Amino acid sequence: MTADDRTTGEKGLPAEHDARPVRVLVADDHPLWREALAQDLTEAGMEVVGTAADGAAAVRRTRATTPDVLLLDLNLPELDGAQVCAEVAGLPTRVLILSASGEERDVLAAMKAGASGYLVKSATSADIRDAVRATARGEATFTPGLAGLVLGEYRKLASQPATDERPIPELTDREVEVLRMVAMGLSSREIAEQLVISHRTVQNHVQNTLGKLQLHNRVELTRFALERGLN
Amino acid sequence: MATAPIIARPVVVGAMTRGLAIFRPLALAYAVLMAWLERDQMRAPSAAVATYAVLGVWTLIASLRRTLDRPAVLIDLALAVGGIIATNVAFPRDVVVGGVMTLPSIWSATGVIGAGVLGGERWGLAAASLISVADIVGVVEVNQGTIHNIVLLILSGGLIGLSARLARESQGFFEASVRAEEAYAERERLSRAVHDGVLQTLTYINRRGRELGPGGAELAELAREQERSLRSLVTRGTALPSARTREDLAARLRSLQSDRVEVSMPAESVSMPGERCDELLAAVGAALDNALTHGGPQARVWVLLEDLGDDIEVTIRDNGVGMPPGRLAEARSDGRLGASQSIRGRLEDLGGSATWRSQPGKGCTVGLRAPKERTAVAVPAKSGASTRHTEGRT
Repeated sequence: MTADDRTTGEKGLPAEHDARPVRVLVADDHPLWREALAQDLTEAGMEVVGTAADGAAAVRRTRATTPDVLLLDLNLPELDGAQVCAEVAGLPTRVLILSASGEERDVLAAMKAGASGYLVKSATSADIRDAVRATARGEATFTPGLAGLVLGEYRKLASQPATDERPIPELTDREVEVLRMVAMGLSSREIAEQLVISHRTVQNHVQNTLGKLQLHNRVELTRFALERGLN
Repeated sequence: MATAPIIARPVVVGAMTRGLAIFRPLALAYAVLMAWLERDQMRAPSAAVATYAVLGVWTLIASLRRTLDRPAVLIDLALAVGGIIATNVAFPRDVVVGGVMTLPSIWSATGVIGAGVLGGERWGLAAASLISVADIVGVVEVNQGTIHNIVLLILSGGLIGLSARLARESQGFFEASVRAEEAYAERERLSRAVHDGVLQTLTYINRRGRELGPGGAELAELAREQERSLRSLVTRGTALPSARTREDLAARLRSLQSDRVEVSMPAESVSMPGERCDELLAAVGAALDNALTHGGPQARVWVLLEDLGDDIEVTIRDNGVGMPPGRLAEARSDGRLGASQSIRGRLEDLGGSATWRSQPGKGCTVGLRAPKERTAVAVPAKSGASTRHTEGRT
């Protein structure tokens, strides 16, 4: 199996073309934020299936309602963002992390654990609405900061010795190019225009970089669990 | 976090001081016993009795004082030398030359050990040499026993001194790291508190304010400014200080983050010699100023740091007005090369290179690449750059 096998299709294709409203679960420990977000999304025609104030509740309610998108604050009590992402990784729900800027290291951990996107809390309401819709469509939402971290992560992996037993995910030249452009603040549209490729192809490239990293993370975790179990 | 006690004195030094307090009376008892066994050969037993009386009094005082300081060590050494000389009075010449033990015997080692503990291996060795010289002068004809004793003295003086010094130094490092860790933990705690409360609220005010129309927009802008500056305050310098000579380029670049500047970097720190860090930061700063000044008031700038193993690459891109083709040539013919020249110069001094790309209306991208460590080999210019015209902005 190669890392490339995993593409956008894994989590199904919910809510294309607004056939039904996008179903969202909002998890944030700040009541102010939580209510404001839920209200915004409802006004935008989405269906907020529930809210959660801590990580454990977020996991429970996501399992109970399997929304299209879990809008997740990174620093929740009880379970942090990465743990919540790992817990709901088996569900068709996609996770969009919403967090303060400057927390990208923790965001990277959550992304590796299965989240599909990240947006800073200072983004406008319109940005957040768009990102939730894009996440429901299966697109990855990246900030430049996160793209820089993902690039760095691949470079770190590449500097480790590879063995046959432990294949190390690599980026294609085109994926590196796209990630660098995201890190330099170009939008998907601008990237598509510059590279003369379609917006969809840009999205696929970004998605692939994330998918390979998540797969690698899962393989390493499984290996670690097996080794612990066998010893 | 529990506060670790700051220990004023290395544990090893304290232990040796206590050990020495036990060693003194035991060594004296041994010396007296040895002298008693040799009493038949003595010429003047009163000299031996007087010597042991003096040593006994000092041993008692020293055990009561329970401190090891310079006067104590000097007295130890002086008494040992005096005792060695008194050996010549107590025993006739032929017995001394025949290899009888000196009156203080192993008691002589107290001063050597004390000097080592107090002053490190140098003082330990100096004290051992002093006792050795007294031994050699005392016995006149050096025999095998004397050499044996001298070797043992010098070894113990040197080794005990060395270990005491190392213990002191590691204690110093330990204390410094405890202090740094405490400062770090406190900062973390404050950051979390600020982060969970104030920042979230400011972000919320910013977001809501913008939706409330012109009056709210002003409020939002204020909240945003406060949020940014507070955030940069709590995220700055959270890494533990490492060696003074090396610095984390990533941490220093992160401090450039502002309203109009977004900085992206790998999760791991990028360690480089401090002065190379300074040079690179100056070059990045110049490129940043250039972009913010010439890019127009609406221009935003993105800085990307990449760790390529031996090299680092910093890319500075703005979405400003860019510049028309031929601008660099124009500037060069005018004899003013300004920022681009200073940036290129700095990078070349570092054994790296700088590239420019720009298009009217599409902003400008500056690529800086340099080896992390000082090497003689220059790095070739960045490959894979697009074939759009390469220009410098002045």
